[in-house]
Amino acid sequence: MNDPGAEQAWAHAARAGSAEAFSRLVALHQQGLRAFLRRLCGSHAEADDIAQETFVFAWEAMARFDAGRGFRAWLFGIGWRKFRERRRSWLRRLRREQQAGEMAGAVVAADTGARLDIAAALDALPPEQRAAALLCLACEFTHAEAARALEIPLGTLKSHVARARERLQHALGDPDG
Amino acid sequence: MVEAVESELRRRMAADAPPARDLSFELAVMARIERRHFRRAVAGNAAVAALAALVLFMAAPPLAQAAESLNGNLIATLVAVGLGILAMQWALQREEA
Repeated sequence: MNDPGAEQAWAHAARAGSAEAFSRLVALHQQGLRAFLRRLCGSHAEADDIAQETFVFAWEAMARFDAGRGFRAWLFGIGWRKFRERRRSWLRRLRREQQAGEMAGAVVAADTGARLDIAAALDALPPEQRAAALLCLACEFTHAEAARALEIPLGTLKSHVARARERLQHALGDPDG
Repeated sequence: MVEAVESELRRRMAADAPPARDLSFELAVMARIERRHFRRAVAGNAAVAALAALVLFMAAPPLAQAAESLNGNLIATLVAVGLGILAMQWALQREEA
C-alpha cells in the first residue's frame, strides 16, 4: 500500500457513495486480495471470482465500514468470509480438502526425511491456519490487523501463526521446526 | 529459518500474484456492481408497478363513482390531478436520492 492517507480519503468518499473512489480502492487492493485468495483456494479462477464478490459486497456494505478499523483488514475479512461460505457450499470439495489435509499432515508427522514443498505444506494446513499464516507472514498484516480480518481472538491468531510457521519450517527442512 | 519461511512464502505469493494494475479485473468488478444495481432497480420497479396495478384495480370502482359524483366539478378535478403530479415528483426525487 502506497499512501494510507489517500486510502482513507478514498474509503471516506466511497462511503459517501463515490464509485470513482471505490474503483481506486479496487485498483489498490486487487493484487493483494487476489494473491491471498489464490493461495487460499488453490484455483486462480475461483479466487478471482471470490475477489470480485468481495469487492461487490464491500461496495454494498460501505455504509457499515468503520474507518477506525482500516479498510484493508475489513476487505480481507470479507474475502475470508466469502471464501468460507464458498467452501461450505461445496461439500464435496471440502471433503477432498480435508482428506488432502490429513494425508499431508501424516506425511509431515511421519518425518520420512523427504523435504515437503512449502506450497504443499501450506495447502495442507487447516484453512484458518493457512489464512493466518498468509496474512501475517506473507501479506505483512500485523497480528492485531489479521485477528480483526479473520474475526478471531488475538491469542488464537498468534497460536495459528506459530503452528503454521512450525509446519512450514518443517517443510523447509529445519530440524528445529 | 523463520526469515526463510517468510521469504519463501512471499516469493510464492509474488509468483502467484496478479499484476499490480489489472484493468480487466477492475472493470469486471465495476460491471458486476452495475449489473447488480440494474437487477435490483428492475425488480424494484416491477414490484412498484405490480402494486400500483393492484391498487388501481381495487380502487377503480370507487374512483369511477367519485368521478361521476364530481359531475363536472372542474376545481376538484384539477386539485386531484395536481396532487397526483406532486406525488409522482416526490417518488422520482426519492428514487434519485
